[in-house]
Amino acid sequence: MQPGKNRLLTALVGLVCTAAAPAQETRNAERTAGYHDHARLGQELRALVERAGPRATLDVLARTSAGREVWLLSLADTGPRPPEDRQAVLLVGGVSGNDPTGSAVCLGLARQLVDALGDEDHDLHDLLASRQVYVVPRLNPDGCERFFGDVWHAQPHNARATDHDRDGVVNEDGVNDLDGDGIISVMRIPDPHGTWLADPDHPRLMKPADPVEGLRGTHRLELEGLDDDADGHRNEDGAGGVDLDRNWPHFFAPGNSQHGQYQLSEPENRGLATFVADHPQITLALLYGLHDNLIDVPKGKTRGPDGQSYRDLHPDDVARYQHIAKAFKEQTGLTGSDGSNPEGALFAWLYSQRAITTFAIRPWWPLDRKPEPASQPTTQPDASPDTETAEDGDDAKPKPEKDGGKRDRKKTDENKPSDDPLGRRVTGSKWLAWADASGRPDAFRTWTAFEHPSLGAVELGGFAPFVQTAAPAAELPDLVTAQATFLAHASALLPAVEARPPVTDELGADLWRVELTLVNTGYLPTHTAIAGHTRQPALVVRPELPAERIVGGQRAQRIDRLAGSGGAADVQWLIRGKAGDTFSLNVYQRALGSIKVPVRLSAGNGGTP
Amino acid sequence: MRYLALALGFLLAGHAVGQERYQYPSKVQLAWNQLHDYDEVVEICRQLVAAYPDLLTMESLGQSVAGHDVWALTLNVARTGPHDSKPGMYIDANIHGNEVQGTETVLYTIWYLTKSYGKVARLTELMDHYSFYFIPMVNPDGRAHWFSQPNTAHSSRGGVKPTDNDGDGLFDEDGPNDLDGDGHILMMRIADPGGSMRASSQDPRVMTRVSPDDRGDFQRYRFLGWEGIDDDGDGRINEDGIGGYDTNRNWPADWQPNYIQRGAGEFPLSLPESRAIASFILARPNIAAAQSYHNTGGMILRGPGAKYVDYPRADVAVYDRIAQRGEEILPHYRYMIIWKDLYKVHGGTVNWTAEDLGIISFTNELWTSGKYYLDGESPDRQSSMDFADDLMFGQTFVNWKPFQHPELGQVEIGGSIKTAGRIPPPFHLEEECHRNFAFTMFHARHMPRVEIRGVRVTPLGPDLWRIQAEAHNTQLIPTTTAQGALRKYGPRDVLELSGQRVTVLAGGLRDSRLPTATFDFVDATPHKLWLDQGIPGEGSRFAQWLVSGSGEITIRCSGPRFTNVEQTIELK
Repeated sequence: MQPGKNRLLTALVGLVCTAAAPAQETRNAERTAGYHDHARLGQELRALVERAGPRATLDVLARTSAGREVWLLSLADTGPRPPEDRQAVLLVGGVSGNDPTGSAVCLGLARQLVDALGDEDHDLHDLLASRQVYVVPRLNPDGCERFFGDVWHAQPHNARATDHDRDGVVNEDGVNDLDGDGIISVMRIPDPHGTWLADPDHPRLMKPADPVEGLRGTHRLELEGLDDDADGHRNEDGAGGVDLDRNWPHFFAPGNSQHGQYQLSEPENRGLATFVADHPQITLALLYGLHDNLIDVPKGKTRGPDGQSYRDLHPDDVARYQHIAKAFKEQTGLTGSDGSNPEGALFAWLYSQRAITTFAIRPWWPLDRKPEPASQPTTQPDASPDTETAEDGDDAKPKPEKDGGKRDRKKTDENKPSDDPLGRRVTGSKWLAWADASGRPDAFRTWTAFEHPSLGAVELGGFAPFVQTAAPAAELPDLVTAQATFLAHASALLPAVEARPPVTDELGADLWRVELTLVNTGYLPTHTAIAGHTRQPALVVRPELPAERIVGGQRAQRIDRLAGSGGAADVQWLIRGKAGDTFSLNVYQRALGSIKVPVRLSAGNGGTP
Repeated sequence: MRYLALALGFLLAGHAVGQERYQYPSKVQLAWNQLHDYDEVVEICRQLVAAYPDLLTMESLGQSVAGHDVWALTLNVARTGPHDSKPGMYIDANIHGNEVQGTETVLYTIWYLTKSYGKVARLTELMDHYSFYFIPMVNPDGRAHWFSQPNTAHSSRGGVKPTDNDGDGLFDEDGPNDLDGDGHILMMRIADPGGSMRASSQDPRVMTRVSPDDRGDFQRYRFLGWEGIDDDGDGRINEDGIGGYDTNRNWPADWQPNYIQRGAGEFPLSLPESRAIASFILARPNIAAAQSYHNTGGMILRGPGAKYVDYPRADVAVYDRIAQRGEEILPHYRYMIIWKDLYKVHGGTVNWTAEDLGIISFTNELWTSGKYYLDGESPDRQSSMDFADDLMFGQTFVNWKPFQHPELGQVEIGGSIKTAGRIPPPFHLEEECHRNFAFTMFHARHMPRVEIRGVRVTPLGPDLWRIQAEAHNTQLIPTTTAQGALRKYGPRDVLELSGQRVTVLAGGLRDSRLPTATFDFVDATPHKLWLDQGIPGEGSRFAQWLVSGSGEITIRCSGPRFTNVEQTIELK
């Protein structure tokens, strides 16, 4: 095709779109009802802060390449400890542009948290009185804004201009809404050498033609589009730059423009990373997005290539995650997910490199929502599935079999997007059944004939974008309520270091033995397995006394770890002093803050307090 | 137009060759047996820029943690094109604050090049074809601290961002202390019957390990580390000094967190210095060669820093050829692979430039004690003491002196001062500067230069022409390294044919210039042939087109790491 002819076509398509503008506004309003675009998100957050008064602040964590703010809402109610000396809980949503639900749930939680300020009966009040809470409802505002755009095309990336095809030009060949229906559909192209065929069990869906089964392909699959730059490839360099959830330092894979030029190259991520590094008191993070580590708790077996890091969980943290996962399932009713892929993902960085207990939550999963029989254990897949969505312009080819065709075909879960390089646009019978049952005829577009300007007769169809990631608006309040319950539960699990009254024994000649016992009354240990593995600093206890009065024991003593649920440890000193002398013992840990323990040298204080 | 200018440049350069002199004075008088602190370095840079404004510019890339400017100098001959239209060589130094002589080597390089332009033919030609980027002080805070404060030869390596290395909530509260106020941080030793060291029977200043054969009555000692006290009373001495991280572990390639790579920083490019310089490098996709100056040990190092990748064989051949000549240019330097022959480094500067950006990159560890007596032998302790006595006249060693330590009691303080060991003595400094400069020029001259060669037009019919051409790289470094191609960094090289009155019917690459060569024609863009693997060093890419039409055609070869070229011919 000649470039000139192509440009003309694009212009024509543009004309179709412009003519349809008023209808489009209605359509956009309908299909995004109940969700907040960036402007409305900002309004809502400002209103929340106004309502919350001095107990909340709204800050800009970063600005995107398109100039949008990444908002950070900070909340804390009055409580026994000042907010800056509390452990902090971080909530993040909207990391992936193709996931409207996570950001909506996160915003809903922000709303509930503001409701709970000053309301002692509210389920979230304890959290606000005992922790500092940080909410980033939308880390990727540029990506998330595509949901509210005229043309629906679900992709995780932010809006950085990128040259994916390395031809020196950015964003010159993206998808095109050829039929002007406001949706980027899948193109089914008849091709005797294709690798896909109609799924005999579900004729609307497609399945990979597996030569081992003697199946021959009939079609190729691509996203709706043209070869805008006439280089022989369609949709290979569209608007949409870096996937923020592939851009974090844990298991970052370089050499892919969609992952970013380097770790944290993106302003959104760098802003959040800097904030996390500057706030070591964050000990718990809940991420509402497309990853999940609570329905499918990773096995914690895989180490990095260097043998020094763990790919997902530290093996000694797995049991604790499983214990919490049980409560999570009960409280949220969630039973399924797409699992997780830690490579370059935010949740994996928070856990693996910052040693923050992190829950990756996919708050909406409408399939198989039946309660499980109590006797039947939850089965877990052997490996974390890859949730990577299709790259623009990749011809959709089924994944080659890595294990010589030995895989058990029956075990292949058709509802995992990994088998469908277009991101589960043509596979997924359970999703189709769900769409049919819930009266969503728009969810799957039946294949319709279309005359493609260069390919000739093709068909457009497949699942609509966002169908599997944007929960029906009516369900959002329930999803928020379920997550609020778990948020209250999870934040009550954090370690809580308490000091027993110090023991003081007079040894004679103004010499005293002073002993302090610290107890962790929280569920989580002060140092989880990953915290120990990554060498997070110990608890340090210092008597606030001149050096010459400490004759035994260091002026700063260390306790490496207190186990959860009542774990205790003690430290002692020999101190010069007289009965009645008072001083403080200062307990400090970078994440857990500090406690001042008053000591009074008193002979009657020997033995067990 | 640019090509005409380039040709003029050669003529002018040729003019100077006939002169008899080979040592041309600089407009800036400098002595190369001296080290310079941060302010002096900036002043020298300013003087050089003022003296050679047509060649040299300088800019601040931003401020360090302590507010020093991170300076970059660009050497470019404007007459032969903008700096980024030519392959560029990046040269930095002093990322480790204590490894100071690299900065003098960079200054020497700038000084020598500027004074030689238009006078020394080989260097003039280099400057006409290539641009040079210099960062004399990557870690200005570390340098400033090393010069102005009591230090050892090894301290002030990182920057000065307050860091809680011992996790007690206090920042930089327990560093070394100049206890006796003599301006040096020296060693502490204590007499201890259980100690494993003794004073040498030959020279009591020299400490040696107690041998089982040692008989008789002698004092045993224990070393107590660097001069200091337990400032924070936690039972450890000097465990949380200034900074406490390593800027050269803060770069993206194979970056690993602190528990795997000590000193890594919070995340890749978390420091203002590394971040500013990374942006500078990424904004110059024409950089085709890189050199970092460190000390010490006499090494020409290449990556990888850890065994997480192997460099492609084609690139290794380039590294080998440059570094093997380097071993001759730099006597007693050895060519080594960082992880294999030295130690593991995750997140080093040259690892990033080499592994993520595909730039042929070396780190030189300047100076080796093998040059004390010019024999390449590693001197023993006594022999080093003799060097300090007889060649340095005792200026670099402070004899052991008793000191009443507040925590440790009676100790002795003494040892070598910070300028001994890692830094060449003044009388060797100029030679180190010159030979390392010469090595980088040898590296620089291998950066790609592309010409269009062997254009052949063959009429095949009344309106059908076959056009053959090759893009040839006369130099050793490929226009795209194999590692760069793997990491898909930057736009690809391209070879294209255009003409107002021609239609390109088919086009593609051939695997040689032989008549039997294969012809891999491409579908969509026959006029535009993408060279995903670039043009190999001292090699060609061969193109063939079938066109119809008439008039002028232009064959153009472009890419980020070479001066783009084109050739126009008439179809007839």
